[in-house]
Amino acid sequence: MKRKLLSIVIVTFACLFITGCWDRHEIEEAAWVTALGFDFEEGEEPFHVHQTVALTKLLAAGDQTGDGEEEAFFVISDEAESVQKAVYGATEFLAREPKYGHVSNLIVGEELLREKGITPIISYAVRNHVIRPFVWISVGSPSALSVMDHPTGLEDIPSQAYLGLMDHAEESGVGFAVNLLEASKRFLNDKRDLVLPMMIYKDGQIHIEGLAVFHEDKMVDVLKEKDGRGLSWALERADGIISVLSKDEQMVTVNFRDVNSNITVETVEEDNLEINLEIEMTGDITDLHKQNARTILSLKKEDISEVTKDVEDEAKAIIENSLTKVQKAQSDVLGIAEMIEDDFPEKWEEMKDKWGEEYSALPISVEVNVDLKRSKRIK
Amino acid sequence: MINNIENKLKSIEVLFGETEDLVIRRFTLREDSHRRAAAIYLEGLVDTEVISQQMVRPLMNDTVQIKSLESLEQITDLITVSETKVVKTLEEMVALILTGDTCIVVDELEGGVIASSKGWEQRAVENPLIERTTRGPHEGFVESLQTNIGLIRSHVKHGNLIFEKYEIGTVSSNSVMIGFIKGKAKPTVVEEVRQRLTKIDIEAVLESGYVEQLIEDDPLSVFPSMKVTERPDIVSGNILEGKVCILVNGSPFVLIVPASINSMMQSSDDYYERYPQVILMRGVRWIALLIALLLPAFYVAGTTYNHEVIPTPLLFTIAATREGIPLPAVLEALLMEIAFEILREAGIRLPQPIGPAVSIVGVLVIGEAAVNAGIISNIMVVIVGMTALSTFAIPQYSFANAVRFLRFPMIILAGSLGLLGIGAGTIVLLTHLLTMRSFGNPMMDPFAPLAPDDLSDSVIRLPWKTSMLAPLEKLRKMF
Repeated sequence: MKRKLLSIVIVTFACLFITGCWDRHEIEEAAWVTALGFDFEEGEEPFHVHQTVALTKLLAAGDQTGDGEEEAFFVISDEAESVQKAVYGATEFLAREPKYGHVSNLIVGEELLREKGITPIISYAVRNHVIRPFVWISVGSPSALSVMDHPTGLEDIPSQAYLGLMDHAEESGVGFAVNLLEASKRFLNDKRDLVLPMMIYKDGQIHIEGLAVFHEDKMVDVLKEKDGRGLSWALERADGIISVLSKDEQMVTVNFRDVNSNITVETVEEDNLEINLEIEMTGDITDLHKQNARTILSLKKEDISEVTKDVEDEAKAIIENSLTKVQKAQSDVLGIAEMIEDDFPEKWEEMKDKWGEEYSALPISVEVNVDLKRSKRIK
Repeated sequence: MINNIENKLKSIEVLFGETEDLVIRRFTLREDSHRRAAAIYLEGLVDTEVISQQMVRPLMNDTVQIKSLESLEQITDLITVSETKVVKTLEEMVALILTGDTCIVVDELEGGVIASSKGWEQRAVENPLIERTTRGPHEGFVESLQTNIGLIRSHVKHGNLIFEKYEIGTVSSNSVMIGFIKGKAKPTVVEEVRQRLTKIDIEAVLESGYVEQLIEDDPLSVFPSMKVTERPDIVSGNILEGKVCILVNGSPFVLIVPASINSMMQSSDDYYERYPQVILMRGVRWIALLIALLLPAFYVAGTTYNHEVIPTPLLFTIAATREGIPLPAVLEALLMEIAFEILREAGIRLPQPIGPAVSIVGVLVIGEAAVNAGIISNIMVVIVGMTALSTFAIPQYSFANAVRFLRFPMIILAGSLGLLGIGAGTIVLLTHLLTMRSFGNPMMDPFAPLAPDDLSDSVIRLPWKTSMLAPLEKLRKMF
């Protein structure tokens, strides 16, 4: 008994004082990688991996020692035949062991996605047990490095800025954030295509430019601005804002606070299939503006129906436009193939061989219902 | 028994070992036969005014006509002190003289008269030193058993409030009293207390801490199984709830049994303040308990093993403050905790006038200098400070000490096994607490076994039932 107790005590103390016992790793002895970027390079070593490493010593709150101009991060890059090998290459550059537990963003270069497809990236990220399924994955245009290599306005570490952008993406409405879990689910599903937000660096800031749509594993098109908004609405993934010229040449701006969409595939006129999209949008009129008007404008209650109609028309046009683009790119981001297989299995048997063309040719009917009743600035 | 007074006095002196503070005042009785008498007492334990004015003077006074004193009972009629008693044996006399009584012996009469003359220097009833509250009576127990019983009686006016006396100590005996309300206290608990008190075999009991350690359920446990208090209002409240209190002569700390972890987290002002504040106060206290026990351990586990549980911005802040610190987090935490314990211990021992100055040196100068020198990180100072403050938020001092002690094994576990170690340590602690009993009552009462009725006075305290019923009655009348 005494020996047993003694051995327990000795083991416990040994664990304390032997460095490297099990997984012991002091927080300041690691190089914290916060974002991973993947680019394509012609040649034998096609994978070019960039890692944003936080310079933690510059991040102390209230630390007045730095001159404030130094960047609190640096990017290291390496090329290799495989993604894992290129990531591993970072150990050669770093005096501390790189840690990936706090990676919050994966940024994949547009060129890589168009040339090689997303397969190697997803396969690397899903296999890696340290990278969480909830990291955001996005497209960097024109390359991942072009996005990662710049400091951002508000945050010391760019990945924190990307996080913020992704968190607010649905409010701004141009696109929406996609995490690794969703991306790999869409990627593994044959009857649903991938869609990722696209980030660019412009005018000293990083921002979400639009949505990159995929056909199978390759990126095929980008939906920017209004098109991105239309697709986000169709997928119920954004609120957004819209401005239309309405009653008496007034520019009416509406902020949406709730968007609900319902996509179905139905038969019309002798067995022909049609994609049916119904969207309920609730919003508030937040601005009225008119050329040469010198007063604060207001709308009458009776005018609301007319304004609502104009907003509906505009929203419908935006959505139709973006869906047409998606169809043309043969990117089935809405999961139409899945719906047809479930609801019309016989039809699916006929269509599945040349699904791409069949999908592009499917007619779409969009119905938009806008509710502006709560607007406070009517009267 | 020898009836010759000089022989008798001699034997008493021998029994006392010829100590210098034994006073024998010889005088002649005012009676026809002019017999010799003597008053025997211990200097320092008695009120000499009482002896000279109320015992010796009436017996010597020539205004009173005494023919002849036939028995000691006649003497008790003459002296005017509040309590008298006739004893026969020398041993009885000695025992009572030791408690501060005076013995009067008369030549040719067997035995002696014991007259109460206790009157040693006593502390007045003052504000309790250890247990402070914002509201409630400003009185604390003192060292005198009689005063303490009086304080309890003044709060609990109940005919069935019973005090039982036990003399404990084979060499120097001391009075230990148990108090409870007959019919309210659980008979099994009362019987258990009696049993355990009679079983005590010790040379002397100097403080209630002796009794506590001699009768507790689990002497090896780090947790106390009794509530200790110096506030009469707490004792009274507990007696009214059906608990048993144990008072020891010479100690202002009273023991209350049975106790539970829940009762140790209660303070008397919980019952004096209104319930919303109390819910906040109690909530804060339980959070403080968790912080005191686990915060340094979680910090060590987070910074050494489980980096992923820390949110990214916090991780960077911690990493930035730890940059350049030569010690691993676990050693840093242990060192700082030990440093704080030294400071606390020194603070208790320091002479009062220099106490504040040294505390300031300890906290500000050493802490600040250590951080500037890069030996310890800022965040560690914050954590140790938080932990230290939290232990003082626990109302029961002995329980806070247990938590303070357990923090160290927790840090070591966190430093060797990470969160897994903290989990293992917590499981062991909870298992221990769940099996622990205080005089037959589970320590985890009312959480386990669950007593839903008692939960209203646990982590939260609901309003008093009467006030809760009032609005209900109003509602009932409306419909």
